[in-house]
Amino acid sequence: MGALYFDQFSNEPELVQPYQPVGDDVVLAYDRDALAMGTMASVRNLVDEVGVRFLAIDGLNFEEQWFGLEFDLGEGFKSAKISLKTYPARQIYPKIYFDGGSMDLNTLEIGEEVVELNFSAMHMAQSGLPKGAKSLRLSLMIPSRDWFVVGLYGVKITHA
Amino acid sequence: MPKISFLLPIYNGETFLCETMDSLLAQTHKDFEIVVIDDGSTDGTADVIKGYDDARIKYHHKENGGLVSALNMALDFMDCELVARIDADDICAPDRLARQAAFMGFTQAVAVSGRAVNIDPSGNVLGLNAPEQDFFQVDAEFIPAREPYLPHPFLMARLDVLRDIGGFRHAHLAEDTDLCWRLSQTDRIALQTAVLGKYRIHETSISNASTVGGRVQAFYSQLATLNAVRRDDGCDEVAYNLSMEEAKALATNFDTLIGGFADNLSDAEMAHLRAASVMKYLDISNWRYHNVTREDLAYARTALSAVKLSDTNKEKIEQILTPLKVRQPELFT
Repeated sequence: MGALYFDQFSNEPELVQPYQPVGDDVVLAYDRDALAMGTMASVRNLVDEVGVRFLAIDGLNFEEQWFGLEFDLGEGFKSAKISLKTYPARQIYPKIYFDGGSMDLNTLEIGEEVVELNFSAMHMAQSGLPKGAKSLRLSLMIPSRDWFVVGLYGVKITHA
Repeated sequence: MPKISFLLPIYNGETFLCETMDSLLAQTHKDFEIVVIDDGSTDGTADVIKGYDDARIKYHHKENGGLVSALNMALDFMDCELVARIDADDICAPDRLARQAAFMGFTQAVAVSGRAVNIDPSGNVLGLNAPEQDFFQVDAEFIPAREPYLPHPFLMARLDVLRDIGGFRHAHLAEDTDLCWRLSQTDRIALQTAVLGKYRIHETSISNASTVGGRVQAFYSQLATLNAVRRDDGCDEVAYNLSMEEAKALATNFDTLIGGFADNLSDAEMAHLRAASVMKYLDISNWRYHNVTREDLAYARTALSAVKLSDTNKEKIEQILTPLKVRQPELFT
């Protein structure tokens, strides 16, 4: 699960709506009313200097809005691997949402070099995720900044 | 039309030219040309270039007119999408163009630059250049200004944007700072953490050779900042109407240099420019090793007493003075 929709985007920026999927179970999350308030995002399909394809997500965020990459982890979630880079280097705040609550995970620093983030159900349980929590969603939350870019290289979500 | 053109201005720079040219021709990204502007060299520069048999090299000789005229001449006739600056004594990493072009595509910035390894004239590594910490916290009111500075030896910018903003201007020895301010007020600019090459530091660097040059550079960098503020405010800029020789003649001290522009400055601008210029000079002296005089330091004290500083700015002033106290303790006794 988690295939990115490379074929749906060209190398020209295409405006995407709040919560519009950019891959299987992957959406760009921001306030549905924010478009009118100076927050927006566009997506391009690019190839980097070593020939690897990725989705470049351009965020314009002139308001005090959080911008998030959200991943639906589904039932029986076991692990998620997310490969990405950002410019400028940003602190990213991962958060798990579930029926009836949410839980913050450790803050991450992401920069221009691609990193693979690994999240596991076991680690989340050790961190305090309630046993039997349903409807898990992982959100990588990006604080507001005038402009930033995220390069999303790949998403792999596995289930038991 | 190649996508990228190197822009290489040169004046009597034969010594390191082969090393530079070899590094350009070894780029992994092959779709480029090299525009060499020979600014009236009297040494063997032309012969060095003629020794290369490569159609991608475009050599142009002109009468000596200075760096700005050489750069602007090139902008007039270049035919490419992206301009990659390089000086005749610096060395590009083989993947410089590939990495910068990809970074520009990713960020959609109109101008980018990156980091470099500093080397001496013999090629010995002196260290990695300091990250441009001010880049992400630009503040024109700060003393000295926190500038949106992109290291110029490895600048890559869109040709159409360079033309649109009027190319390079006679902000002597701070042409790059003036350019960066105008680029940053036009569109996105971005600073890459990747190391893109080697930057040579040597005794013949103009601002290294003379404290007068250091004062000129410091003053014009802060004047460029003042002009950025004026543009933001919709006001006329202070014209860069002195020649390099005139500026240097005035730069025996800051008062005469700044006084040369007094007719176009308000009292508040004068006070700010005095403090910002001398503190920029002391800041530059920490890595250019200018011999700071007692008069410079006294001028700094007087100039700082005439402006209001935030606590953060006071800390920065201390950070600038600390290495000077170590290097020239006699100034503080």
